[in-house]
Amino acid sequence: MRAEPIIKLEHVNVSLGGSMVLRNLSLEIPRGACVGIIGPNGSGKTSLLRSVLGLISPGSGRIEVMGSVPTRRSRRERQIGYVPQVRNVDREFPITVYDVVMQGRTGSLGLLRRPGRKDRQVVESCLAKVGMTDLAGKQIGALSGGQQQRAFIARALAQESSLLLLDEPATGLDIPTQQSIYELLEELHQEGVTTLTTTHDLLALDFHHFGFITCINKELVAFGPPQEVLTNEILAKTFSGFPIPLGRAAGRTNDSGVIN
Amino acid sequence: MHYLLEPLQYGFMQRAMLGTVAVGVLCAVLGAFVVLKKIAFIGEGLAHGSLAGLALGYLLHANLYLAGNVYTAALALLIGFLHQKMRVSFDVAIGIIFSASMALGVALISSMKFYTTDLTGYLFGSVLSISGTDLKIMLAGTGVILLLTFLFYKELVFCAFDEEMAEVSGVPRTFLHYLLLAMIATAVVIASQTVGIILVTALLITPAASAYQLTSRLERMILIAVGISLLASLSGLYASYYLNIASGASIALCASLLFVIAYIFSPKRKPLGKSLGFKQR
Repeated sequence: MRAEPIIKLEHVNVSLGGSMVLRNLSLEIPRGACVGIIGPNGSGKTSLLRSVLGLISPGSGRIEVMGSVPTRRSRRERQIGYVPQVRNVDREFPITVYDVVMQGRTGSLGLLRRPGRKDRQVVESCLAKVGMTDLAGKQIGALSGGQQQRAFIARALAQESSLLLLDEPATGLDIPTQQSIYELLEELHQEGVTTLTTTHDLLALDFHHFGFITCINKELVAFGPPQEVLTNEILAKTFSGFPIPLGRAAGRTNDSGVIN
Repeated sequence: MHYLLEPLQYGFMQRAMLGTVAVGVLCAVLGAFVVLKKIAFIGEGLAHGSLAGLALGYLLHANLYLAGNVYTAALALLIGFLHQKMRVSFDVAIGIIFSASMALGVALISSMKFYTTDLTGYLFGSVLSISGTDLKIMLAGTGVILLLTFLFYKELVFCAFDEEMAEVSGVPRTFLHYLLLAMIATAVVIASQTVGIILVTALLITPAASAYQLTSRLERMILIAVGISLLASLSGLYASYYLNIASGASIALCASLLFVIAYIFSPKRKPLGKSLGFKQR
């Protein structure tokens, strides 16, 4: 018997401010999969993640995450890890990296309770996973962009979720940092964590880390293993006909544009 | 020592002292969140808007400050509602609500047949005329707000730093937003008794902003803000006693002076000469 998918979308339509951002999207993400979501800017990648989190509700269709419709209560009980797009954090905010990562424990602690020894252990191991142990005592604003991103990834890891959503985690970072993020995804995959990672930057994308690729452009263009999905035809459809240079996978495609 | 103790022989000075300390602590703690959330306008707006609550309390022969508290908390929730549900920016929501409410207050007061010292005391602060009942309400309000802030501390900080992630983690963001607004409203009305509605911002913003100059740790920032606030409040009160000037104004001036000192000694700043544009040789 096939295992229940961890995320199930059925004919989902999402509108934001009057315009349709996701159209009739049906998708099933198997448990434990490492999924890459690609599409141009404005193709609804972030809206897809926010819908899975239950931060926006679909106008029609049904979304099930871990067997139920996402709500605030389910978010608190199930703790979906989330790394939002790199934004300008308030650089002056008086908070250390350690305390930012500890925020990942807020949901599982619940109201009124303070972090205990177990929470501190989780925070320390998550800091170690992203190589930020030495910077734990620094104020968040004193870090570089790549370091901040790693701190936010550590905060998502501290949620100890079996589902992790990363929105453009590698965008704007240097190659070694991007590489370390992809290695982390692989590690999480080994641990059985389901990950959804979006990107619009095909040059930065290292396809070999992903078990599945989802191409969206407001609607689903393709979903499947990279070697089936990453064809010139599908990419052209996803990116509205622009010729697409494939990043580190380039040179490994055959004449029909399929990765070998 | 004699100069410090002499004013305390009067009951009104003891009440003033106690009220000032309560208000100082309360405003410094909430002020940290106001400064970090960059919603400084909220204190000023709520203080001015509370005028109508006062006038209504006066007309209904209720306790002025109790009526003011309830009315202003409702006003704060209305601002939050307008911002969240009607997609009006927070500043604009404050501007609309406070001017409407203040206009209502002015209209009500102008309809009263006689001049009321109670209401002028409210405008400019009348720390020296705090009654026993007023003091009890002030202390109770302060206690409740400080307790709530302590209980929801980690969630309030999370929301101030990163509202979206707080929501993703299942933190009741909307509830906490309204709770913070209601607490600020209550604090503003309580503070207006010592410095008056015109100068409430001096206690809500200035000590927290001064502390912000001196540290990059939130807990330390709150403690330093409390210290600065108490220093400003008490030295302002003594200055008002000995120089015979309005106590609200004197407290606000002391707070501003402390901000200037904090700014000059801030480790976050370049040397003063440099930031004024003088070339360093």
